[in-house]
Amino acid sequence: MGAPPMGFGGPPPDGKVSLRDKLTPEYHDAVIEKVFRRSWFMLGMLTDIPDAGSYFVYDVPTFKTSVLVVRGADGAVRAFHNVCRHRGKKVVQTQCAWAEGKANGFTCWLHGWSYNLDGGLKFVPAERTFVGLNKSEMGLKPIVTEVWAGLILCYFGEGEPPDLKTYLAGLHDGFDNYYTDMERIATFAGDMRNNWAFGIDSFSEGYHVLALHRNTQPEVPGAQGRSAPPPPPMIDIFGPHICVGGAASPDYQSAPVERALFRLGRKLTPAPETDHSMLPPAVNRGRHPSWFFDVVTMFPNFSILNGPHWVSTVMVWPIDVDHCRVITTHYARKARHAGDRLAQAYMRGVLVSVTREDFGAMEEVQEGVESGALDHMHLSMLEMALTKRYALIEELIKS
Amino acid sequence: MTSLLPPGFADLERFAPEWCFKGQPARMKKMVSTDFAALTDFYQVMLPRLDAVVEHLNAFPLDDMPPAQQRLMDLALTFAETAHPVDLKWAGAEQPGVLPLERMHFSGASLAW
Repeated sequence: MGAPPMGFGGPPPDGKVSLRDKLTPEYHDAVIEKVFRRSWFMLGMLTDIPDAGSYFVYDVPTFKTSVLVVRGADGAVRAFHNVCRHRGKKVVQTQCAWAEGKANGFTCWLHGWSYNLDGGLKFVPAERTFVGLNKSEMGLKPIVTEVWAGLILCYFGEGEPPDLKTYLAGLHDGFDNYYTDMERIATFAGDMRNNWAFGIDSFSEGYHVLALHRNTQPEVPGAQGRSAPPPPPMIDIFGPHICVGGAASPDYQSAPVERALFRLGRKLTPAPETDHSMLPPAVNRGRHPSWFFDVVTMFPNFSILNGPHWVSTVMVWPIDVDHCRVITTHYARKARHAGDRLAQAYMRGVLVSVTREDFGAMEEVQEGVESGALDHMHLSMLEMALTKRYALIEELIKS
Repeated sequence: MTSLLPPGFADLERFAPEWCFKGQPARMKKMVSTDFAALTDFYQVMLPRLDAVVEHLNAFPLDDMPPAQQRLMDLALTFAETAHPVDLKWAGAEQPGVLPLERMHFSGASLAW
């Protein structure tokens, strides 16, 4: 497998992205076949399944696949189709497309077939009544999975997946002891009436923050307000992926409860952290003193927001051309005491309100684009992650 | 009357029956459905008590607190999650143009504490 495609293979982009084709079934089908079936996706973190027998189940609507991710007795992470090999029932039931827990094995309660943590078929009731049943060949069907820096990624295409390190294109180094020091503090999601691209667009740039989040994050622009020129973005490009660091306002003023809780516990979003001693080399690579957080937009459909003591991930899964599921998951450095837990609670409360703003806006983008009023959208340098993604998809669906 | 909260927090006792929720869905629903004056009242009483609450609770294991301490923790967690409309000086607990709360699906850690 050679170097991954880059996007921007042609002349420098003018930031104009055609909207005429984006909501056609033909374009959508080509994107699923040529992009989604050839990409890696993040489903969770090692810290979500810390012990032998820890597991989660994640229903991925794009591939109509329910994925069981489990830590084995040997410590290895494995992923399986959450489908009983007997009659095809889901082995672990999900609610809101999710389940989690700790187990010694898994039993399908339709007829009682049970499986080991390594997916092997352990027990079949009335086994002698089956003709020619070879239990050793009837384990749960595996899904290709790899772990990178504590993140768990899966591949849903046919055949050999692209080599993960090559796919990450230089993004793989420098995250030691970062994601593994975090714990999951919240997951909230929405089934949205908009194309997936307008979903991930919202989480690939910081340009919208000052306007859309003016009520939930009013202090981000600082004392000069929204009229001040934006600071130059800090951009690193890794093949198809892009990392854009956002600048923090130097005169950020915390609201009273935020200030109290981020003093009694760790300082989490939206407060900027000035002590960067806990950061690994790959987060705030340039060690900019007034840094807010990095948005790492992973091709094609997810973003990882790397903050000083917190991480948020946003997965946008196409359902059909006009619908997607957006799953936001939030992590913070592990709580040492009640003070840390209360700081986490403040952060996740604010983030529900912030996310409701993003979710509300993306459905309105869909309505506007559906109306046919526009031929194209005109994007800024601050939105380079979008320009680049649309260009790369164009390249791939024409190949 | 028996108190719900640990000794030393009698001033917060009147909030305990109404504000000790577990998990995000119940807390967020309470936030958007409560009269803003009541949310503000809760805020004004809780804010100056945060240091004492945290100092008290830090002495207990986070995931294994006695019942009275757990109630105080749930009260404080509910406060931490629902304080931002007052903290950010909104006119009410709901903003225009956002996705209705009923369409947000919470799972995993959002339900656990």
